[in-house]
Amino acid sequence: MSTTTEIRAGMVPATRTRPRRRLGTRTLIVALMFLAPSLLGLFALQLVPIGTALVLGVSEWNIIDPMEFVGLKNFREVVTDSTFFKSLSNTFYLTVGLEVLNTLLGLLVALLLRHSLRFIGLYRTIYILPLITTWAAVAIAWRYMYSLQGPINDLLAVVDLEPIPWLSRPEWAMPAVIITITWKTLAWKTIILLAGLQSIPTEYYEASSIDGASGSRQFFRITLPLLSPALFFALIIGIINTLQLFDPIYIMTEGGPADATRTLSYYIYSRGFESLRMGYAAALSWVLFAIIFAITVVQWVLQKRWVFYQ
Amino acid sequence: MQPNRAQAARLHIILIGGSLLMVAPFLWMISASLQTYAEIEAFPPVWIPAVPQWGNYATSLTEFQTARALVNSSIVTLISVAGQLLVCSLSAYAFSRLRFPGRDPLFLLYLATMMIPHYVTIIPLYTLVWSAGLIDTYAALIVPGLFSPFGTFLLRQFFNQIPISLDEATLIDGGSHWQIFWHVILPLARPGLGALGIFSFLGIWNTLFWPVLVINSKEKFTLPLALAMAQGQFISLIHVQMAGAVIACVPVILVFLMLQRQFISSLALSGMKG
Repeated sequence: MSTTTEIRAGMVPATRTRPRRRLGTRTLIVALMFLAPSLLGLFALQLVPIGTALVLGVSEWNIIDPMEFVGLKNFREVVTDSTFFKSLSNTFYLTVGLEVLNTLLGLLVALLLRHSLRFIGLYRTIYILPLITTWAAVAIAWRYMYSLQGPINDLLAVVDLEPIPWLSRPEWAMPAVIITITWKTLAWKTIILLAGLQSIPTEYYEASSIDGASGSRQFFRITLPLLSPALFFALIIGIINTLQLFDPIYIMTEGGPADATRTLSYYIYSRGFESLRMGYAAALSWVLFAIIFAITVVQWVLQKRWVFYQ
Repeated sequence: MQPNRAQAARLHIILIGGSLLMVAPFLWMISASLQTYAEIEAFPPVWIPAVPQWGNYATSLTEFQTARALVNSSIVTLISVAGQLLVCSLSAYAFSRLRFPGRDPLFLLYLATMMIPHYVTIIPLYTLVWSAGLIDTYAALIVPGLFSPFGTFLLRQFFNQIPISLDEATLIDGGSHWQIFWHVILPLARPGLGALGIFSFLGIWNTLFWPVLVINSKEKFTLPLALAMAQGQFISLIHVQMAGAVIACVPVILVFLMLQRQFISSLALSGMKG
């Protein structure tokens, strides 16, 4: 960037009088200067790791001994790995449970928060607090809250219910984890849906009220169809996020009891960093990628059936 | 939507009920952090400690090394966020303001990498950090946070909204691209920088997975890692652990209250989850 003319060359209006090819090169040089740190990051932190992941997927490596090429052995092992299928069905349970709870409750809260009320800003802040706080901190709190002498069972005792061994029984652990994650992530759904609700013109409601439409009719005929793009976006990203959850499982259950909360992402961690099988973990991560990709494509195709764009 | 009085009263009741559910775990955290060990163990439970045990916080800060972790987390987060803002705004400027050959395919490549789940890249990234001999260093915590395809994308969106006539005026006055970037774009894109800033602050401050992988020694623990490790080591000292949890949450909540608006706008544009 030695002279200002060189630098000016990047601007579209200033370039007209100069020959095209040289200008392209000059702008390229300016652009590369702005892009240099980012390109370095793209290369070292994204492209090289993705390439390495491809190599690792067809290798056996415990970090200490030299890497060994094994072809598709890892992927063949995945197909016969019962813990993989267990973690796959856990992931399915978690994702469906979370999406149902988060969508219903998130929609409810968004419908409440769209009104212009006093203290509405305060309510919004309160509902967002769990979302922004540190997972490690709140997951430890929830873990103790779920314990047999913890406050949740104390409250159950008040209404004469038997204590529930939330995190120590396979049948209770996943519901407990789902409740906690719902509490933590509900605001995310709410914010997306609230933004969707606020973009619906109020004239539609006024016009239909004049025509005598009831509240529930307005909800199903105006709100839901016009909210469907936001619901669709929140569903896609919500599932992608759930498939990659780590912190709450690591803190609250470590995949237990009896693998009841071992999700696919947590299984990748265990294989890679507990059994030090980097190749197998990389193969599993490609399976996770394929699942995310397939789900997204399927939803994209299915959206024509239910998503309504204005 | 403007509710009438009776509707407003009903809405308030439901919203307050929901708010209580949302804050209850925080209230329990604070209450437990101020109890004695006997009160934690007591049945029926103690909801409000007889005498607040502020000493739990001192124990957490010193014996649990939360103070050290607080400093580590602050350093790592500050450098990462500042670095990420600079790197992303430089690249966003190129994508938004310069017409160079290969711009659009390159931008598509950035977008494409956003589709790859981080589980795919994190195992190789760990092996790379390991081969580079950077395991258990601050660099291992900071460097991966400097680059963000999402940040580039977000800032480009904000930069695109700034009228190009402002750049032209600077050029006519003999200014360089660097001057446009520094004196025109950055000041006008402050809401965008705030949005990316709060977004990456929360992400980096709260992250547990990456520090679990690359950090071994206690002096380099970040707060989430220190909390997770204390859980295993001091299993019964719930009150002190809760003091640590409160200490970890306070800075996040303060920063969030300052940049709430920007946070919500960045969220609407992205896919972050807590």
